[in-house]
Amino acid sequence: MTIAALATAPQRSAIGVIRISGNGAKDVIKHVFRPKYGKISVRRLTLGYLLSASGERLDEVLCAVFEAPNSYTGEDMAELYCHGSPGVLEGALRSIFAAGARQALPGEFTKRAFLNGKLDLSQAEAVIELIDSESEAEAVNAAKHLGGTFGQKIKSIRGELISLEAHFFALIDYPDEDIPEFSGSEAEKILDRAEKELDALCRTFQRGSLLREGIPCAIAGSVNAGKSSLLNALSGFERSIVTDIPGTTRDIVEQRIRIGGVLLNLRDTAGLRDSKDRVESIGIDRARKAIDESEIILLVFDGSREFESDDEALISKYSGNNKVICVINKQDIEVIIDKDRIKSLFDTVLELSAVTGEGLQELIDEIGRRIKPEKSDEALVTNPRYIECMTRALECIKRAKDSCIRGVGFDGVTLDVEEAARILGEITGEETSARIVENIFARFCVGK
Amino acid sequence: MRYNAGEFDVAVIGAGHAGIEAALVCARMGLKTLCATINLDAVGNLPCNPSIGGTAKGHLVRELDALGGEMGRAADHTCIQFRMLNRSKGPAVYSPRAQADRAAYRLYMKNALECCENLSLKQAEIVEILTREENGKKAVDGVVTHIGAIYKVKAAIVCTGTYLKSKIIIGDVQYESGPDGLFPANKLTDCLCKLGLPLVRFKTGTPARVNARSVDFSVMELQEGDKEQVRFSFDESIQTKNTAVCYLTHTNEETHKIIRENLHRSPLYSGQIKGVGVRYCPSIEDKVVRFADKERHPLFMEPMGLGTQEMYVQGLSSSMPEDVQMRIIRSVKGLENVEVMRPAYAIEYDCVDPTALYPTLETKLISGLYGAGQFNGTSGYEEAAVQGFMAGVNAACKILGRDSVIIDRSQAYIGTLIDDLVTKGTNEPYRMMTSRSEYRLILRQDNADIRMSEIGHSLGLISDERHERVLKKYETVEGERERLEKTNIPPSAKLSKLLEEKNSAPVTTGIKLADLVRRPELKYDELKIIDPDRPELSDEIREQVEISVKYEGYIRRQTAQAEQFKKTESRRIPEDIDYTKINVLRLEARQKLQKIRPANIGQASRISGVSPADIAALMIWIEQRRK
Repeated sequence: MTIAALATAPQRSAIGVIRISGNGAKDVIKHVFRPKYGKISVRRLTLGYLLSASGERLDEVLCAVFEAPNSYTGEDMAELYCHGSPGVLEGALRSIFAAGARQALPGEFTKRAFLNGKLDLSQAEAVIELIDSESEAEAVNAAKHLGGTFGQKIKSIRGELISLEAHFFALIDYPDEDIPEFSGSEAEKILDRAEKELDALCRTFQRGSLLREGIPCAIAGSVNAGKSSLLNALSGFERSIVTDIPGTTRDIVEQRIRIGGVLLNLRDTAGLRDSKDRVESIGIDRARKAIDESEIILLVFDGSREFESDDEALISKYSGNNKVICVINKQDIEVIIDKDRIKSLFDTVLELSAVTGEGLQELIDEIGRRIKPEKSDEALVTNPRYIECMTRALECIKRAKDSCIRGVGFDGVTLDVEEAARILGEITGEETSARIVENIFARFCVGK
Repeated sequence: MRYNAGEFDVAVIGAGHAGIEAALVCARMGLKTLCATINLDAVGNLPCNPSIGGTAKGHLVRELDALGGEMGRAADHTCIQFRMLNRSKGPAVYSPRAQADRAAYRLYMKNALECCENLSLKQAEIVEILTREENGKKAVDGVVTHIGAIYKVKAAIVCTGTYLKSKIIIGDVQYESGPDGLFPANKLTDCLCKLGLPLVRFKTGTPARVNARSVDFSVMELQEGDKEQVRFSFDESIQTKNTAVCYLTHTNEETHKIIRENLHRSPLYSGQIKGVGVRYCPSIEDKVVRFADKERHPLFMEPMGLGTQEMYVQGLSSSMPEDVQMRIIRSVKGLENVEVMRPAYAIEYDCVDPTALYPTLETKLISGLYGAGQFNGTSGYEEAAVQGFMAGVNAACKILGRDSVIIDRSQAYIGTLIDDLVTKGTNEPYRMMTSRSEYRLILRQDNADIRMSEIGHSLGLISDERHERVLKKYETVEGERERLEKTNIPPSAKLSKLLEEKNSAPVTTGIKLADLVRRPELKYDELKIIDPDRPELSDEIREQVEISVKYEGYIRRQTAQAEQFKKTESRRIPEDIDYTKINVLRLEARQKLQKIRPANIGQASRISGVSPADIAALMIWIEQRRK
């Protein structure tokens, strides 16, 4: 089995390293990495692109491949040196899992290294401690997570699969009993439901990681509309807590704040205008990209002046965009702008003064309302190990459903159902075979 | 007065299904073997249902046959009806089952033991196992009969079935007895306790037997055997006979009413039965209470043999008082005037906690002492037989100085059964079930020969000729499989017509024969008309070809999983580890490992309460110690 994991800390940093080990390491690299020039050569760094599961470029990275036994673990290995953005790294891991690797358990690389004779005994002792402490932390973590909606959902999906298995086995193991026949369409329905539920859970992963990394929120507007003061006002506002040191990513100033328990990634962008200046143009392009990637766009107008051509350009580009919250700033000075026109073009228009703080509470409330999870009981999946398990289980369920439709015997279909239940059991830490047997006796009247 | 009565290599205690296989295999492997039983007329007795095989159990019988065991042949020779169950549910779960002539089966088995070289079959109750000290551990030294004969032996295999301190319960009547009026074995229990073995008390039960002349079959549903020849044994020279029929009837509302009104008279519900009962073998009162909304339960009338009118009423197990039983049974359609010959009863008996055994079925506590069958906490003739065989093989190997033989979960249901028992233990009589095997698509009853023949052959239990035949068979299968993969069939009117008839997608360009076989709606045999170059092949081989092509994807995946499994299974754990001293393990893991004493890392990882982190720590600890 090929394993993969982030080798550096899971936080924003210059470089994030992903490590892959196992027979299939080279195969995985073939799927997730495309060299920029030429081919990958062993034990040399190759520049290239990291690809998502659907083949899109995620990042420009360096890749190193090591062949067994000349590697840390003694197996075929690969390392990817990515930019240290948690979003990129998570995407990379997902892509790697999709290519056939699974999440490494705590200390698993070191364990493999040890078993392949790559570590000495004193190192090994350190590993034991590491495995112990990490798995305990993981267990605490998992227990917390599994107490909630997510755990219940997984248990309920798994329960359905186990019931399906139990029904099949009750029929098989007790052919003489009056047990209702097992219909293919019935099985298909159950599998279909399980697939949909699991799929929905998988999709929350995206949102889960957004919540963890911060929801991107761009502050856009023409030059001197008061974007930076709005950023500062929001950052310094008593109800919003500044959680991070501002990092300057090229021309975009980022600030993480927390509103109603949700992390928000505020990004102050360059003023948008047509510019002949090459350097400024580059900044503006980046600003546009940042705005497009955002979930919330605070479109700021300077209330103290008439519309200018740059404002008109913004209006035509962003009117009708439901991500936009329109802000008419500088209420502390005389308001000249045609407010009615703005209100006719945008659904949400707020008036405020970044300088005095007037109207800021309303803006915060509006943002809070937008970033609140759709449903309060929504289970969010944030752990890549869970997503990897769910993806594997989903594959099994799809295969089982497909076999059902094609009319394959239930002896084959149930193998995939059982495998799916077993994989989901890895999340909840429950054994499967015994549960199936219990389920048979609980539900069916069987015996001599 | 005790006296020295002689010397044997092995003593097998009991001549039920476990004892028979244990004794035969030891003797066949060249050991001087004593087989002692309380009553010689009860050798190979079928005290419960008169049938062999069934789901998962049929797999066990076929595996045992491929290894060189006797049960399959005995069942084939004495069978009076044969059926392949689950035919509509896919080849992985096809299950052969035979109704056996109970008297003929007993006679066949008794004769098999009598005719076996190196084997002495004696009527004697073993009351004590003698031990001596050997390397600081107790080791088997001899066995003592109830009349004082001492036989010096190197190993003893306990196959006591339901006889240890057995008690029969019918309503408020209880008495010490084995099944069918045979003596219980009361003294051996005390000896086993003294030796320190952890014993538990289990319970099972059996329905009433009735006289066929008093049954109205005209209102019941006829159940005939299969038309085509089915057998357990891979020895094709045996012809199975299909001479008897069974009948199906049902309980009804009246039956259930009688049961509900008399529940207070059931020892199960009044707390008189203390043994742990079997969920998969519930009494009729259990069924009625637990599944209150079921209007009826099926009952099968099974003949006990050709030379008797006695019939077994499958589905009517009970421990109610006899008068209530009479009212229950006579409320059933077709049984209104039935004459009950033997009432249903529950039976309690002592057995060992199987986690006290190694995977070789040797007790951890006493060298040379083995357990098999119901003594190990299982239920069923077939489960007993395979354990008897494996215990016998390992006892013989130990005496002969050979490596022990452990069949793992990826090789056979036998391996699954034994691994479950010794690794997880059981708190009720353990029954083999299809769902217990994670490799059931590669562990089919039809390919038990290729899975087990090598082992049987290497033990000298399968002849060169028979082994060659198995290898040849699978070479032919492989050859035909390759031909199907290579042969391309061009589109033709004949092909189109066939596909249309079978509601299968049309073919525009050419298609490989194998791809056609893979279509669930097409059968290998049906494709013969478009496959003119097909060689003449036997039924057995055609079946193998079809399964191996149709299920190729699943088989490949399961084979890969099995290989993965074997890796951890091959990492042996030294036998002398004191887990209590391994501080890197969590306390629970230390205790569990100390109790189970797993043979390898794979087995260790299946113990409940041992985490992956514990396993990693254990592996590293072992490695450290080695260096």
